[in-house]
Amino acid sequence: MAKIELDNVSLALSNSLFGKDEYILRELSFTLNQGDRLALIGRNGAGKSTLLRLLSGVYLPTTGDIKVDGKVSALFNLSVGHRRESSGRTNMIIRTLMQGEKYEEVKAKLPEMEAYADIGRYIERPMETYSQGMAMRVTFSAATAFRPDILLMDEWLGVGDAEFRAKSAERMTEMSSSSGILVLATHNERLSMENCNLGLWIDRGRMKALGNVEEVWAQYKASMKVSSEVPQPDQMLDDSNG
Amino acid sequence: MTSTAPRDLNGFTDLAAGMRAWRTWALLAIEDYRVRYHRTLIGPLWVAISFAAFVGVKIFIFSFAMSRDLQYYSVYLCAGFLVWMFIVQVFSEGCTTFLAAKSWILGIPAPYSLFLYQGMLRNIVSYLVTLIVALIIVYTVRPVPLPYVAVSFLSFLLLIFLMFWVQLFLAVLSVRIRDVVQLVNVFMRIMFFLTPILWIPSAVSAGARAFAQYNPFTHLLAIIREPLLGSMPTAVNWYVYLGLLAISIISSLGLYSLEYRRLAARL
Repeated sequence: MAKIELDNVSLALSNSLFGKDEYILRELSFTLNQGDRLALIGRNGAGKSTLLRLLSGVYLPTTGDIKVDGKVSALFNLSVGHRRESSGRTNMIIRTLMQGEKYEEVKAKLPEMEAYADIGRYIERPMETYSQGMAMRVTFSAATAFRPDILLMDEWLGVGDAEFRAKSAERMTEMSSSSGILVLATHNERLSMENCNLGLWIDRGRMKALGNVEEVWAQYKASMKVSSEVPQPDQMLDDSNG
Repeated sequence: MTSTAPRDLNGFTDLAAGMRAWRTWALLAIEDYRVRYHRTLIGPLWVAISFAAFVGVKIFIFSFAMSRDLQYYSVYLCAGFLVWMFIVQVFSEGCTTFLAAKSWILGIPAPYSLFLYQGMLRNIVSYLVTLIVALIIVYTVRPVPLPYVAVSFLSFLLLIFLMFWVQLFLAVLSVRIRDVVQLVNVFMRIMFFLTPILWIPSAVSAGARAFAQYNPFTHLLAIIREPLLGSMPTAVNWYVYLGLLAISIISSLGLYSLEYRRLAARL
């Protein structure tokens, strides 16, 4: 059973030798159980991505305790460690191994990953010869090949051309619904309503509100005092993916 | 797979967890090596050529300044420079081990030590061609019995073991204090001239000879170089090695445990 427990967790990052530590997250306490779908809401720089990194284990809390049960998959940086001079296939293997998957399972899954990326013989060529779309196919295929208990995402992923985007959207839905816990950091109201039941509003590293996703969104929007005429971020998202 | 914390590791368990992921770092190291000579014609041979050229020129210039015969000096310089190259590589690349892996460390939760093992393997692999060239030179110029070569090889393995802890120490320290990267480079450039690599202690002034005795690098070179010259390392050479090993293990493990929880937060 997937479970996440945070007890009074704070996280400070330090960017200089003698400077003061900067607290990015302060006194967070909450529990997520099997079946919970949490949308992280908040302004840019509020600490959403940092919280995702904390939940994944990239950062350890400076103070407080965190307990995570279940296999975690972090989809917040698809192209991490991506090597231009190595082949798509090698990059797939490296990515999945780094994720902590077992070598035998990676080997068994490789044909499926390659078929999913569907870039033909290019899979054996260096990734520097790929178009951006092809590179995205490869990284997406590898990053989403295994099913986690806990899925952490920074914005919803939709990549590639029309055909691949439909395919990847399908996989994202399947992956998020099959995971025990989903935590999705997003500026997209519609997406968080569709995929999440809980909302957590973070402001300057502190918890502002936690509860039903619709209510938390309502509180967040009320604080922003913006009219509903402002374009929704999902429109911007559609434009930003080539 | 369940865990009680997202990164339920400390400095010690991280070293073990990283070792268990050997397929990952072996693949990364081999890719590093392959990529380095990507699209070159003769690839790794360049390292050997640069080594042979350097050693050749130095022998030509310095041999008459040393009292020993040419064969002895050639082997002395070849073996000494070979070991020095490895030490310098570990020192300078060791500093940037975690800094260079920043995007991995902040992107995916994996044991940090994985990058230490990757770096060490990459250094060894990129060193192999030079090692073979150097051994061929040594063996054609002034052959020594095989048991001596074996001792030299074992000493080299011991040097790798020591260098692992040095690398760990420098990698962690450099994340905390970035100046270490530059400091180490300056330090090693000076030490190249202060360590008996180009010069033979018996052929220089008493002062330089005494200094060489207090320079730890002298002893690290000796355990590998002496057998190739046909004599065994002295007891003092081994005591210094063991002392350095103890200091390196204790200080690197201490620093790693101390800094472990905040390593990513400092990147």
